Amino acid sequence: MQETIGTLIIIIGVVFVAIGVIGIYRFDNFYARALVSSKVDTVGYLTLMIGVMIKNGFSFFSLKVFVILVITMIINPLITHSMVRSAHISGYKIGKE
Amino acid sequence: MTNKIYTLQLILLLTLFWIILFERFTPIIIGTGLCIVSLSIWFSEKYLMESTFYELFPFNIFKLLRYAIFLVIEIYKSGISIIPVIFTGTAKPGVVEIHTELESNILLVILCNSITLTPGTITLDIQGHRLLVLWLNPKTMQPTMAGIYIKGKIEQKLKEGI
Repeated sequence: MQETIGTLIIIIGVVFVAIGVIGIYRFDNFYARALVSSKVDTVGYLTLMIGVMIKNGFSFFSLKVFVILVITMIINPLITHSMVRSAHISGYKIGKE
Repeated sequence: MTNKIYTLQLILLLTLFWIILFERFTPIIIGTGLCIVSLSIWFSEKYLMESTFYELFPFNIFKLLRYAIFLVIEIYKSGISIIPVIFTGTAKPGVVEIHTELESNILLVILCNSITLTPGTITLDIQGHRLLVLWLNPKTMQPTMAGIYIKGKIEQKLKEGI
């Protein structure tokens, strides 16, 4: 039962990641791609890792996955911010080039 | 929350991290963990930092947990609301300027990171109380209204304390 729920949540996470990847190929502008791709590494990653944790039950493995999840959630926005900020400073146009 | 309770909470949290890394729940591991955590907190406060942890990063573990749950719900909400945009392919990103009333550095950092974590908005720059936000399909360019759309609930939660 627990494993089935975990697998279902992992599948939902993979669907979120797939939608994000479709979004990256659908837009041709850097800023829209950056905005849409944040869906892959926040919603998709969060759902995947919650699925892994539920599938394994309460153990040291799940706790370690949780620690990795928290660290990623702190570092992830910093990386996105620095990439987009450097693009903005170096003068990328928002409209079509 | 006083300084002593805060330090106790920090020690317990870091000891939990130590136990997770060792994957064992025995008295020896807990004892060494408590000793090393207390030592490292004392060492970094005395020699490495200009002020104490309590003054730099004041937080309450229960309030932080409540905020994390709220943030996850917000991330899912905006993540689902972005799906139609991907399938129709209509995106016109714009840069909006918003203002915030938060004072301390740690709260500003958490606000900016939360805005970047929610899909559809990315913080570009911060100068004092002015934030530059990149927004997928901006509903309005006016700073006050844009502020309500982008950070309304998040700022409200942060004002209640963390």
